Amino acid sequence: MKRRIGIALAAAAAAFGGCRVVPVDQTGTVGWTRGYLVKPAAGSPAALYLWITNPTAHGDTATAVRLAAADSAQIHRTMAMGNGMEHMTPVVALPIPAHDTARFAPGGLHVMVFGLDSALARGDSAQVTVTFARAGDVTGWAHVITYADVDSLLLR
Amino acid sequence: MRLFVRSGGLLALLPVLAAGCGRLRDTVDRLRGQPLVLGATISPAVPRPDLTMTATDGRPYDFGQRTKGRVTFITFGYTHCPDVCPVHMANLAGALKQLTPAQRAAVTVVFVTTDPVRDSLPQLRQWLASFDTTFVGLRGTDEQLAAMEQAFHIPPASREDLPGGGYGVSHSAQVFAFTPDDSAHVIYLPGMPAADYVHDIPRLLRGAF
Repeated sequence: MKRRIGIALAAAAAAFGGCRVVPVDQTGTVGWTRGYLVKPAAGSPAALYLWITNPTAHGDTATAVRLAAADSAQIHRTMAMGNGMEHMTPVVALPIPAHDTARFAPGGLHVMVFGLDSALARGDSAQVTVTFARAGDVTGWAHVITYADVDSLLLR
Repeated sequence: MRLFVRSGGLLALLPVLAAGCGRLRDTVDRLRGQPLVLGATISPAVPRPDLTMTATDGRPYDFGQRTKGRVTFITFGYTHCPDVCPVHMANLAGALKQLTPAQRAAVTVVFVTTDPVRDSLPQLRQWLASFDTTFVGLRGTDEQLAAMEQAFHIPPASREDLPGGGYGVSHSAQVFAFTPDDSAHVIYLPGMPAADYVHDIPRLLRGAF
């Protein structure tokens, strides 16, 4: 029910806001085939993992992410420094080559989400908009999961 | 009655038989050149440090004394970490749920904050409890944290500002596993699934790695 309401809201937003609404399993344009928003523990920032795919013949670049239910979001990349250290760095432009997929996953690319609505619960869907340099705003959905789900959904 | 006594005797022998079977399997795996654990073995091992920090109940926690002889997983991180740290803790918590009660009782998990400014003791407790209420959270002064990092031969954590405000913390991201010989011979890198911990913990309890 919540998902249906969300889809209706997204459709309305598309009609009035001019952005395109793309379902999670869309094809034919830049979008994502998997979207998981991990509900944070103890008010910490949340993590959003997307599999952004570009089935078009043109490369594109993701430049920003925003969520209807959060204050702000930034694309980050966690990098191993070679000495056991992990370093997190902001990604201001993420190229998605033609016919390629950027798979966000723990220990690599992720979206750091600040101020996520704490009412979101596991099983809900959260509206996500990714801005691409070529395709513009693409809006879709991410499933809300917990860190206990990450192992089975994102690490295998 | 005789059957009961016999059954009781057999039941009492089960853990001994299980341990024996485990050691036999360790020997077979060694002979076959198979890894005993799925974590990475390190040499030289890290001796269990006898260092004290503050636990989330506000009391001093002497890591060496409190965890002596126990299989102990210890990692460094911060509660505002959205990626590596919570995944480590969730996977460890998931693994512990799959152990036998006896195995579970023999394992301690310790998380050392590298962000004592934001990680107050209540914040640390609340965050850890979202994974497992038995997880131990440690916070210390800059000097105590530095001493702990040095004991594990890891570089010091460093704070790095993020665009739009806030900051992240670069830190060592592996989990160190101590065995009953009070040394960490095995480490686990980020993304280690719960199933791999479940595979390894019985072996770590036997001191096999």
